[in-house]
Amino acid sequence: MKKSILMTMAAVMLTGMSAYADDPKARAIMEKGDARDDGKTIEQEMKMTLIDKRGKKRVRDIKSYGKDYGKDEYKVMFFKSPADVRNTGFLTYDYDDAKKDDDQWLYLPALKKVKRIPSSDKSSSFMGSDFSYFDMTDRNLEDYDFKLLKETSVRGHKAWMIESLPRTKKVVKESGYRKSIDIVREDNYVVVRSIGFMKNGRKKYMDMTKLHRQNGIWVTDEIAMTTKKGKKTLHKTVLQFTDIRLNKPISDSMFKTRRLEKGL
Amino acid sequence: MAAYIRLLYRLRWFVALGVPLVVLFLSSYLKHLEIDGSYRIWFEKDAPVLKTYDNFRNAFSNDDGVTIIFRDENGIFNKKALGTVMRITEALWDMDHVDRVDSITNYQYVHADPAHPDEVLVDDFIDDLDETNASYFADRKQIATHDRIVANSFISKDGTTTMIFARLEPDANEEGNVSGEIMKAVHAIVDPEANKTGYKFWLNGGPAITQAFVEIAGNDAATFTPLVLLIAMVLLFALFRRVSGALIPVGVVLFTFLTVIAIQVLLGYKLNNFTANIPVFIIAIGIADAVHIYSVWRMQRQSGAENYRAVETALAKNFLPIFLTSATTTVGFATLALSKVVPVATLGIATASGALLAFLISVTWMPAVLFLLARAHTQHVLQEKQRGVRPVRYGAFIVRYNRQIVLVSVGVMLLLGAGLWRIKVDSNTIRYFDKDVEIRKSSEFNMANLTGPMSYTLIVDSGRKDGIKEPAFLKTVEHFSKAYQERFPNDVRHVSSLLDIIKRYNKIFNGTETVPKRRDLIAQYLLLYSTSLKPGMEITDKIDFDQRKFRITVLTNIVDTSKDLEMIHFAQQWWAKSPYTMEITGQTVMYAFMQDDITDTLIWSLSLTLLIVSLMLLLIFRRVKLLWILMLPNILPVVLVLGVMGWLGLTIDMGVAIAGAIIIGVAVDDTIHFLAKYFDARKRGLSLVESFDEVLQYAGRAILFTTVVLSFSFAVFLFSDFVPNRNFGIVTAVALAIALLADLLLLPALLSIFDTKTYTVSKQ
Repeated sequence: MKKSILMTMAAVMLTGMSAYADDPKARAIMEKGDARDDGKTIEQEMKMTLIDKRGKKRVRDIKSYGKDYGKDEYKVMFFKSPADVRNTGFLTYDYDDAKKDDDQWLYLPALKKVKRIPSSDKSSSFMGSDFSYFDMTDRNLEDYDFKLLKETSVRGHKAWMIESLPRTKKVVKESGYRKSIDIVREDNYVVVRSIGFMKNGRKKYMDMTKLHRQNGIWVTDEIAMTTKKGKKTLHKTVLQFTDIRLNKPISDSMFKTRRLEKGL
Repeated sequence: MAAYIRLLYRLRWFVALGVPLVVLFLSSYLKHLEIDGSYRIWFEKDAPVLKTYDNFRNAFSNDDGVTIIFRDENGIFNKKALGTVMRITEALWDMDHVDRVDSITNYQYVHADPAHPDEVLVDDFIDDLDETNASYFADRKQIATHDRIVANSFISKDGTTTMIFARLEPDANEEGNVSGEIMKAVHAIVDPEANKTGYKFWLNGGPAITQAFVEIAGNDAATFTPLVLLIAMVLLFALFRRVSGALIPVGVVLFTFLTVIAIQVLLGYKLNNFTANIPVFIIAIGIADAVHIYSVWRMQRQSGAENYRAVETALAKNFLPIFLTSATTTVGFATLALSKVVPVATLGIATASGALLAFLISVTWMPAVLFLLARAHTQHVLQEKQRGVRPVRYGAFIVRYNRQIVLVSVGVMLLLGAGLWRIKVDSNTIRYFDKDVEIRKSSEFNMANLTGPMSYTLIVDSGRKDGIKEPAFLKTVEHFSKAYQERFPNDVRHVSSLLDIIKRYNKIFNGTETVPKRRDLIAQYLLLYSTSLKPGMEITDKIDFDQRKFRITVLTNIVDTSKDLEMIHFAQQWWAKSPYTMEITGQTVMYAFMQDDITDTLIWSLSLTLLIVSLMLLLIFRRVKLLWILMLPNILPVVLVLGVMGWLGLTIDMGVAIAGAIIIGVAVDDTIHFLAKYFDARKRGLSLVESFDEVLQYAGRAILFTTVVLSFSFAVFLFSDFVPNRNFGIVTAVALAIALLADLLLLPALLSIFDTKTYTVSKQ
């Protein structure tokens, strides 16, 4: 009798402890998602709609190109509108090596100058939107402990709800998130929703509202990010992607700073 | 009257016990009593200044927050001080109601590394203290104290004093209790740091000010009310030498103010620094009714009258005079309801209703209780006669020196009254606090060591969407910032806006810290800036979402309200001449704009009180030709006190502004008592001299007593840390003392000269 109580207690303690440690099943899911084929190159039009708390909107049109270089990924983006920022370009080298900071260059057409903007901090806003650079790139799975919270469903698709806890304070600082909860679709391993928990009680809600399969690869058509504090919506950004072209050869010269100067 | 008294006698037990029970029941609501110290209480709900302020906060962000300032004699640029700033900054980020935290450590420093001129860096100004050395600190100090954005705002020019600012969510500081929570949380962060580091942290900002107001109001209410009750009891006991004489009048005022406050609570009002003193006001003005009734009842009993008769006589003799004096007092307070300053209006209405209620309780509950005091009184007739020394020389003195008295009075009035034209009105929040109050010391420390503790927010409308990106617009902003600081070099301490950041980018990309000449370049800088923003930092606290409106923040010194208004008008006129429109707001500005409301309060309440009281005196005494004589002794004290303030250069604040009407409403009571007795004497055929002597004998003591009670009660406000209350106390106590002298000297002197009517002796 006594023994069985001890056993139960031990079991409870173990399960309790596992809540703070890594969950292999959750990690396996995240790894599968990370390894998902997203094409060797991608070219697309991005429409960024910024929406303030009163529903006012501002729209920006951006043309973007991306290419895989081994595990690294290079991206270039040009603003098409508004007119006063047309041809402003951003070039980013996103390195797989966690120790290496990403490289980023900016081209200002009004000055015809390229500047490097080095940053180890990915929590900064992506083009003034609710997305951060961190939200726009793949994260390093080794930085987190995962936990499978439950099974759920999103828009009729079965999905896992997985919690990620950063392993170090540095990760928290650089990502801006203390914790996040992702919802991963079981059929395609795409993260279709997530909640990012930030300091000061802010939360960011990502919702991938439209996606489709193109040549066997899942691509995003529309994704929204809403920043909330408590129940109040502070700001929202919707990204809509069109003219998505996958695996179309893109020349390496596209991802050079000299190319930035040429604009669209 | 006889029927009423019979009815009251029949219901004596019912009334004597019923009234306290009703009050007791109402008092149960007092547990919901709250104090509100927010800046919002001073303004009407739909006041334009409040609307402008709310619109601004909606479109941009809150401008209010908690500031924490500290000084390190050896400079801030060392591990200890900067580590403290960093820890406090981080801890504040996580506090409820906080939107964003700014400090010297997380200042987003936009710069280029000389070694890599092709790079633009946006970093926390102080990031990692572990890998630092002396040259790093020297370098940071050199940069910070010469950086236009942070020097004179977040760091003092000499690098010894720094500020951390926790900005609140847009609607966080509207409720008084939220400020309490915020300050508690701030102390939980700062107090352990103070123990650890030995730094003195000076707290300030909206929640700190609100909290200070709440604490002072609470203290005032908790100490002054019992103190004034005690003073009243002591004075009453000295006057009547009977416990019932001390307790019954105190009962009347106690029941009155409990009821008035309970009704305030029921109506959903919260107390504030003004209304917290309603009990004191009610005690002071309400006690006279009971004193007059008790006084006559006691005389009747001492002269052997049977109790029922004594009560009847006391009521019959006093009913009309105390009704009239209650009515004039009510008028004095009720005219304050005209004020646009909400707490003043509330105080006026509550105290006016208190004056009426005190009258009602005095003529219902009090006689009912007196009926129950049937125990026979020792007859004091003989003693009374011995004590009542006939003031033989009074009437003769007045009649003999009447012209001198009038001349001296009028001379003094004209001389001191000329000071009225020099009166200045002040409505500066910080100066509402006594010099010893921590929040005021904190503001003064900031002003002496760092920057301007007050601030104006200017919202410039460029006229169209995306208009702020026009170089011409930004040039205008630059001209203004320069002109403003040049015009007010001492009192404008810091001007900041998004322009500083645009110019900083231009320096890095283009070499000069100037306004870019091209619109597209400005747009591209803004895009770049928006990509460097950390979570929780937005560009919309500097420009609105449409990029049409532009915010300029001006930090200013604590100055006289007239100086504030001068500075505000300069900005308004400057922008009126530009192609753009500008709205100025912020709490400092709102308080400054209250100056007109305060002046209006004084002028309107005073004029209306004078008018109504004159009409009432006319109705009561029906002597049109003598009206100015009756009013003069009541106007005189107000003119003297305000005139002296003008000559001495003392500013008039809200406390003084309300005093005018109150003084007249209260002081006229003495005039009424005096005149009632005087005309009565004259009608009975007494000569001028005899009439004055009789007045002094019968009304003198009552007039003296009520003035003493009033002056003492209001003088208690001298102990308040809320300066308007203190000023009200001094002004009112002095004015009422002057009013007493005027009623006893000037009034009879004037009567002796101008009351030339021959009185036909009535049949009596």
